[in-house]
Amino acid sequence: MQQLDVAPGSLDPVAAALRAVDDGGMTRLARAVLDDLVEGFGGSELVGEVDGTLPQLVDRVAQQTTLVGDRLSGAAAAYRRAEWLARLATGDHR
Amino acid sequence: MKPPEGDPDLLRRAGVRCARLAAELADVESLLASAAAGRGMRWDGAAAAVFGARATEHGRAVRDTRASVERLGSLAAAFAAELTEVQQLARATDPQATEQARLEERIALSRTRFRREMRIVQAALSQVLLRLPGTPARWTGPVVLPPGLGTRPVPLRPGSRWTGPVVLPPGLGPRAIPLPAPVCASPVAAAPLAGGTGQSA
Repeated sequence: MQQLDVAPGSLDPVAAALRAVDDGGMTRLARAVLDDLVEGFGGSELVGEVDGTLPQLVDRVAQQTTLVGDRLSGAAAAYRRAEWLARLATGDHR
Repeated sequence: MKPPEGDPDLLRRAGVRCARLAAELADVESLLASAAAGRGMRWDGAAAAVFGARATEHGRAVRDTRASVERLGSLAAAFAAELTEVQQLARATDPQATEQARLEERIALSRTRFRREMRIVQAALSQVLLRLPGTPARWTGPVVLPPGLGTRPVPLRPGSRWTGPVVLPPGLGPRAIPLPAPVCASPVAAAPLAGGTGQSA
């Protein structure tokens, strides 16, 4: 069984950073790359070659990254709750 | 011969932007790596395994995307250099010289090669896109229902009367709304008194 080292405190910044990826910046960049390529190549022959796959893929990757971040912060929250419950159960009310 | 068409500056800019995009993707990659291996508390079991596998798989998709973006950037930069050189040569040489025909042939060859490489990169990108979870073809266009099936009532033509069935909301018709059966807790055995006086032995 796979084991992961996680600390709730150290997970949160990573989760937040992962969730911040999907701000549309990368997708805009990918679209700009595509426009530059097609226009720089000149003519319209390249349009059929490169359709919108790059921006679409980058957009999906960013979305998926957000999902991973969501799961991570969910796990961090669950750990905090579990730790709190354990402290409560052992009578440690700090 | 007119100088070959195409704008090397734009292609060069595409290369630079590809490098920027690749750098951002690399950041995501390292974030995912640190998400899959943090420091401190131990997290294991099925949830950890599922999360680890998913983060790793996603990291692989990000890496493959980055590889394609880098390839795209280097292809654009190389073609930009080629285009610049041929355009300069075309301007420098005599328009009637046989040299021009050679240049024309050379740039046509480069363009064909560039387009072929683009197709390959495009295919690689499509592969990654198909591998991403949740990609299965889904209709994202507008949902068009036949008139009367949606939430909007079908307007009656002036002068005509509604002849269809009259459907009343539940509770307004002659039929009573069936109530769910009450939920009863099953009887439980009496719990022993706290403290344990030894009677239960």
